[in-house]
Amino acid sequence: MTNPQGLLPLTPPVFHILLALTDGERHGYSIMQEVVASTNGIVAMGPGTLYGSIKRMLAAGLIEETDSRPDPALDDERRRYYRLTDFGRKVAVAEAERLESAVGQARSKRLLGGAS
Amino acid sequence: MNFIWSERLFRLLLHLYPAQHRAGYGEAMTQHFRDSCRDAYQRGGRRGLIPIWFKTVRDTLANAPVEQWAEIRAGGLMRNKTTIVLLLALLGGLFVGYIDSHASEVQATLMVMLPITFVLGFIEPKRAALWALIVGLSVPVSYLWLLATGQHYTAPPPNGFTTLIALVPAFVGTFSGAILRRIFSQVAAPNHS
Repeated sequence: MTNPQGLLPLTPPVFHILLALTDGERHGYSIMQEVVASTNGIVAMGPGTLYGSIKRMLAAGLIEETDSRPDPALDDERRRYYRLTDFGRKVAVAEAERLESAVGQARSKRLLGGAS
Repeated sequence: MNFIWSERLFRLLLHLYPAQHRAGYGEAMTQHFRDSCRDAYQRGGRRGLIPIWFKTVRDTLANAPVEQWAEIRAGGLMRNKTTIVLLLALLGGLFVGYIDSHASEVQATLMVMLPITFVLGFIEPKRAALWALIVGLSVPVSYLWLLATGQHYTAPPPNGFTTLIALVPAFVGTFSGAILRRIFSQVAAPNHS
C-alpha cells in the first residue's frame, strides 16, 4: 500500500466499482446494477469482468470483503459484500482528480463547452 | 421461473476459467448470472435471456484467457502439464477454426477436430470438458469473427447457432481419449490381475 498515483490510470470497471462502493458496502450484482445505472449502461460488466476486477482490487487493497449484512432478512446469506478501504478511497480520489485534469485540458482546447 | 439449464450451461462455461479462480469466485459468478437471468426474464420473458447469453459468452471469452494467463504467470510458465495442454488446446482450437472457415466440407473439420480432441483428452483426462469447450467453441467463434470482420466464410452455416453443434464431436473426441487413458491406467496398474 504505497502511493495511490502508482495505480493510475485505473481501468473503467475498476474506477466505477470504486465509485459504486463509495456510498457503502454492496454485493457483486448490486455493484453491477449501480454501475449500469450511473453510466446509463455505457459501462456494463458481466460476471467475468466484475469478479476479475474484484479479485485484483482485493489483492491491491482497494476494497475488502465484509461479513456484515445490511439487510439479512432480504438477502441471500451466501452473497459476498465488499467495501472500500481507506487506500481505495484515496486511489478513487486520485483517479477522479486525474480525470478532472484531463477534462480541464479538453475544455482549454475547446473540445468541450465552458472554455473562456 | 428458475433457470436451471441456463445455470448448468453457465457452470460448464466457468470451466474455461482456471480452477483457483473458479474456487474463489465461481459461486458468486453463478449467483450474478442467475440474478441477471431473473431480471432479464422479468423485463422481456424468455427472449430477454438471449442478450444475456450473448453478453455472458462474450464476457467469458474476453476474461477467461486473462485469468488463465494470470494463473500461468503466478505459477511459472510451463511448470505444470495443464498449462502446456491448455496452450495446445488453444492452438488446436485456432487450427480447427481456420480449417472450418476455409473448408467446403464439414468432414475436413471433423478429421482435424477428432484427433486433436482425442489427444487432449488422453493427455489430461481430468479436464476433458474444458478441452472440448475450447476446441468445440472455436468453430462458432471463428464464424462470428469472420462475420464481424466481413470476411468470406467458404461454406457458411444456415445460421450461427448451428455452429454450436461442433461441441458434439469435440466432447466425443476428448472423452474418448479420457476413457482410453483410464483403461490404459487400469491395465498398467501394478495390482491389476
